[in-house]
Amino acid sequence: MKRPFILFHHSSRLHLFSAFRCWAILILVVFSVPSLLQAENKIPAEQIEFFEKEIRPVLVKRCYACHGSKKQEASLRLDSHAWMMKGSDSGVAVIPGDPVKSRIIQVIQYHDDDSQMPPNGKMPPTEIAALTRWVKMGTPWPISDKDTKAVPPNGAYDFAAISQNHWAFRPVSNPELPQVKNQQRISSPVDHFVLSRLEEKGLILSPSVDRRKLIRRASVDLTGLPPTYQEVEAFVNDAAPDAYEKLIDRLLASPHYGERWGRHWLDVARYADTKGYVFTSERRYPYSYTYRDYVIRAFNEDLPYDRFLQEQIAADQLDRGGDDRALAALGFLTVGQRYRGNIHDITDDRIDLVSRGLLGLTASCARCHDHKFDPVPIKDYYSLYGIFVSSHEPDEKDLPLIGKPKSEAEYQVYQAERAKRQKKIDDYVHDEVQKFRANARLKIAEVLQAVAEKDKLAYDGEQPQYEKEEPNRRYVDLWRAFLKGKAKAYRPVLSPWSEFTAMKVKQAEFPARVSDVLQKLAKQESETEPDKRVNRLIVHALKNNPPQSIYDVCRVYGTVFNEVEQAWLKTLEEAKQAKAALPEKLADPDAEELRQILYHPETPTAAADDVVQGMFNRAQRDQVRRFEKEIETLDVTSPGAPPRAMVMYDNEKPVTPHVHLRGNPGRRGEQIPRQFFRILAGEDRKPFEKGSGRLELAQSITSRENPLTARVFVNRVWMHHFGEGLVRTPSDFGVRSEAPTHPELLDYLAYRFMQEGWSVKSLHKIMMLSATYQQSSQLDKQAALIDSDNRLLWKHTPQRLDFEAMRDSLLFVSGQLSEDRGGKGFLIDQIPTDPRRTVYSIVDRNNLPNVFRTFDFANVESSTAQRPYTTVPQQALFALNSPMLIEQSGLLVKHLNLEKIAADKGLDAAIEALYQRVLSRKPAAEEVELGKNFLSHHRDQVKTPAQMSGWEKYAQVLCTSNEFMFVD
Amino acid sequence: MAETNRHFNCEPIVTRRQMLQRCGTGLGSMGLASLMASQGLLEDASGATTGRSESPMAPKIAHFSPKAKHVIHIFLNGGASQVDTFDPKPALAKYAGKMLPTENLRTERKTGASLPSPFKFKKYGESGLEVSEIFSELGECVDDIAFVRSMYTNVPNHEPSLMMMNCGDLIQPRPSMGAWVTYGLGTENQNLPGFVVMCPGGYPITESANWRSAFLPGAYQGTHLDTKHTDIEKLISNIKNKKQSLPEQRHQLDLLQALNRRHQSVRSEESALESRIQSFELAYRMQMQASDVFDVNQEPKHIHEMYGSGVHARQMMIARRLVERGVRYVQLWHGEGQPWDNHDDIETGHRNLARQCSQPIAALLKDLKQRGLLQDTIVMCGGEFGRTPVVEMPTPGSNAGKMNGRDHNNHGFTVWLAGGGVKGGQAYGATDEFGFAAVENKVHVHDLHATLLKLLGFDHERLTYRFAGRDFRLTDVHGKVVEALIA
Repeated sequence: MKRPFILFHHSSRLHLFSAFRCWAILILVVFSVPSLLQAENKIPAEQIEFFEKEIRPVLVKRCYACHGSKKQEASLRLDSHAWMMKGSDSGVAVIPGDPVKSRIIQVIQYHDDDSQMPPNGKMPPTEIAALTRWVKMGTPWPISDKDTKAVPPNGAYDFAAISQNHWAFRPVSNPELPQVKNQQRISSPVDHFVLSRLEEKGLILSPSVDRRKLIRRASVDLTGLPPTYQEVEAFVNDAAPDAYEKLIDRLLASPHYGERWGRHWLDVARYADTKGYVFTSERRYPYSYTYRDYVIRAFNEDLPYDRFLQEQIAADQLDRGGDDRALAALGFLTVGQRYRGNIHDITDDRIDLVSRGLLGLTASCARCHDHKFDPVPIKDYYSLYGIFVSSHEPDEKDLPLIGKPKSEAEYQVYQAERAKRQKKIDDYVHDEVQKFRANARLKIAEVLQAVAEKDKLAYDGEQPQYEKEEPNRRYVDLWRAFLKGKAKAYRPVLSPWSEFTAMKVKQAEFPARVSDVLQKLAKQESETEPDKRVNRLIVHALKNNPPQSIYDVCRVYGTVFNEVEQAWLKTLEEAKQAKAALPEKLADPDAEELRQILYHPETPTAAADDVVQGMFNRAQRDQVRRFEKEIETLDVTSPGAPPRAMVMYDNEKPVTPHVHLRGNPGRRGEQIPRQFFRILAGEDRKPFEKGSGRLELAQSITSRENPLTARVFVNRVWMHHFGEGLVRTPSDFGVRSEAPTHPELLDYLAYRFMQEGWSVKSLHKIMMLSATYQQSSQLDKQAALIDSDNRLLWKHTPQRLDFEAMRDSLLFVSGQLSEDRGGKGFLIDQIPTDPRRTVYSIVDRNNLPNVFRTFDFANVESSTAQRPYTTVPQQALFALNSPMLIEQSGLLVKHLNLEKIAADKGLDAAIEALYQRVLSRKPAAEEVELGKNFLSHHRDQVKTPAQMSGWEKYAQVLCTSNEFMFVD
Repeated sequence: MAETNRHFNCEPIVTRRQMLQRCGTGLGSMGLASLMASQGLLEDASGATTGRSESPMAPKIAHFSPKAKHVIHIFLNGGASQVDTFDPKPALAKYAGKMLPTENLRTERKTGASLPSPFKFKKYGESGLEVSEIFSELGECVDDIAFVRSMYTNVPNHEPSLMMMNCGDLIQPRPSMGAWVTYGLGTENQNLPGFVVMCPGGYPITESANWRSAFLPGAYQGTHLDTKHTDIEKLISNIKNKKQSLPEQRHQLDLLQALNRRHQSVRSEESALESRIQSFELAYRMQMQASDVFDVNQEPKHIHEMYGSGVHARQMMIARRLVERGVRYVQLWHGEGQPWDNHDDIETGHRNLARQCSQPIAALLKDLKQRGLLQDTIVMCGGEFGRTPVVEMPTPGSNAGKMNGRDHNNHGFTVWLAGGGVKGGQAYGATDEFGFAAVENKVHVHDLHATLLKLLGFDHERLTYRFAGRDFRLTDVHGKVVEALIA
């Protein structure tokens, strides 16, 4: 038997759940220097010399490749004394003074039954001797420049120093508004912060953008849709001083606002409508849409952000004032990938979601080891792990109802269909169970042989003989338990079995012993006393067929039971034929005794339905799964299926988690309470006490003392309005993140956000009313030289429409956009196009439709704050050729009746109508000319099923133009 | 020509800044501007050179001079049996129908006695390497092939093993190798997708997760084609406008670009506008190139004869045509689901499967070679794992009582490599006497990945991407380059 490894070599790939290891250079500042290293002067000079000559070179040569600064196999590092003393995953590596007990000395001995290090060959005896001697000396290690500067975290970060030194962990301050020279440009507190920084560099804001551009910018930002021509004109001509503010209020009040900003949140929530890869089961979530609709409603109703987060983590434990719709919020936790049912990965996904998604903290790095950069010890990870594994999700059918289907009639249809499909399962299971029992009663010989085989009652290589395949293992185990437990109760029948099975003799001796037993049984045959008699039929059968092996005994029993069962079936059949009353028992009491056993509910032949179902073979299980999937599919597809919330509930008994060493659930480390991150909750944090702790977690996240939550959210809202966040790593506020460009502004906004009741709509207003937001996007060559990346915000950055805004705008201008909101999703890549907003389309996590991916959709596997931005020809192919563009161009032309306008009022009028519709403005003269030229070329082309008309092609051009796709 | 900075830059994907943050690759870059300039596309480069250039596919320079530029991965999905194909084990015959003297290793299902291969093996080439009769056509190519007979992976189940072979992790959603390679190298032909996946009939098990980009930008995801179809429009979405001809479309595009130029004239600093304008030109030309590349009818008769007929012949021809035009990574699946998963009837099953692809694979190798493409194209062939040398026992409800198939086997299997700097004509590593487990010079899938990346010019430990606070790589914290496989 090998001793357990301490030093893992890289070829031992044991970790099914290996993964998160952030090997890289340590950031020194965040770790305190522990006092492991004693002052150098205590080490005698000869020991220093010995170390530098005999030990350090050996360590460098033999160990550092795998246990140095670059790699730390088994978490062991040997490039400083502190690291060496920290040991490996599995414990202490060196005991100074005791080489025999020191693992590093043990493994270099190259014993056959132990790990052997270094793996590529045994070290020379002189080196082994030197190392041994050095350990014996007490591992004297002089401090030297050659030592690594990094020190082991041991989860012992200097939290106080880090929370003071790193901006994101400091409390949110309430900064004064900075003084600025150019007071006239100030239109919101935001401008104080932006202008003061610009003025430091001698820069100014760009001029205000013109009103046409401003209304388009505000409309797309808040609703994901362009303004109509009429809206633009009304705004341009509105001289009221609060015209712009009224515009913002109108846009914020539009139900389209929640559809736009809810989608931003769904990116963070890694929302999708499917479970990831599943083999044959239903892959779609039937109720994920209730979470999506909840999010949209929350934004539209300006649900305070703290409450919004609390509901998403612990709605089940909040006072919901009688409105259970908020339960759908828990979909935040439950709509993630299912990792084919692996609870550790599912939980990891949730920890990542909550920590990175809500706090900008990359805590999932701590799944396998203490975070290498941020103050997140592995213990904190498993504190959160404990919270989530102390909750469970009910079966889909038991999820709470949170409303009614849209139509009562459809609901009736749904219920009837569901009952029908359920009955199909019940009937199938019932039939199969009956078949199983009927067959089992006739096949006692088979199962007894399997029992004999499993209990190793046979000798000398005798083999059982099965008709086809061996009986189900669980069924065999039921019989083993039955025979053991009922030997006394059924003594008259089972005593011969007990005698034979207790013999355990060699094959050669078997016949002789058998005749002994048979003689004994023959004597008992005439007994009538219950505790002495034996069943006559069993004894006769054994006498008539003296068994040559234990398997023969099984077969004899089988035959007797089989005959009894056949006789009983015949009796029943005869009674049925004669239309007589069905008999209650067999006439022969010995036969009846056996029949009673076969039919007794405690006998495995009559096992309960669920027990038998548990023994279904692969084909039967597959059949049940297929039927179950039919129900799941109905829940997914039926418009009459009522909405349910994808909730989590607390388990009755919460778990006090253990650390999983190296993220391996099979290797348990220290046990730790469920509690919040140390860096955020402080030194005197208390373990969570209420149930799983989800509510307390939610409260900790939304505490006003928490320095991250408000900053992270405010920054993301800023990012969506300005193109880049004040912190440009929107889901990482850790020590490796970029510092904010305007730290006081970030704090001001975060502070005020919390102060004003976490109102998201107020937050939009304070940003959008600023002169900073309203400035134009024109180039200032001087400013570009000083700040080419526009970090100081001297201009607005134009935005390209994201996928949803592009598709929705297209439907909007073609007059197709549906006002139908919420409910089950639709398929994005079907023609005719479903005219609902894109946020309502089905997001298939495993096979994400191409069009999503082509247009930089969020990563559906984990939380995304900022989507990628790519320009690839596939996007242009969609614009040029997709059936959707062709379809919508046609609908647009038809909707505006362009050909009639052209005929009635002339080409100019029709071109103007098209421009007003698509680009919300009138065309310039030159543009009209370009249009006319184009149309004249296509004049002869009338629309046919096979080709587009000139007008349609023209409409398509405008709908795919840069002007349509970009917002100034 | 944009300056190449070997220390830092890699082509901006999201924005230059974000990529600088994310790439720990030390990749060099030619840049989209230079690419387009070289293709005579960019008349006025001022827009694209000053600001962001967003083409994630622009060709990039690897860590060191690569031996290979392209990969063609032929996936025998379901798990081909090594002892019936490329790893002859005559010792099995001695125990035919009897238990092996060594204990059967644990696999997915219950296994029994030795099942000798029903196929004959023959030596080929100067190297004298043995190949099963069912792949006899490959015999002529063995001197170019390195059979890695000591492959092993972690578990004997399809899903995690597919993920390991393709994405380097059993269960976590990680980018596929094709995504990593196109992320690292871009692609040489901007008119075609950089990473093409072909699977006749639909999806293999775990579906598009096999070629996903995961946290890498979606542009690096493999483009999946169902090669059951021959119609170009069914192969690549939106590749053709069904309602107008190309000259008509050019006319339409001219109007679009005229309007875009007008719009751009007062926004000259916005490089994003120029990028989008150029992407339309690329897309327009892609329509012709893509239609062309998938049209195997253009191949002469002798090439058709060489590859044979059927979907595999067509797939292999397309693969060659793609690589010829600069596509970086091509993956070819045998078919929908898991065709090589012969738990029963291995003799007829494997014989039929090999018949479908053996000649086309051999033809691909020879064709690449005669065109001088093999030297910088790695052809890799294998499944997600191998199969047991012992028979699978029947289980209730499956096998239908048959005892003539093999179970999954993660302990040992064969993957072969050819071309692209691979040292051919060798069998590297070995399984035990019976072909159950890799024992000599074991090669884990991570090691295979590390080796392939090396051939492509990457240090697998330095091809990284920053995501969720950490620098990820294809080989996670594993992987050792198998130098013996490199010529």
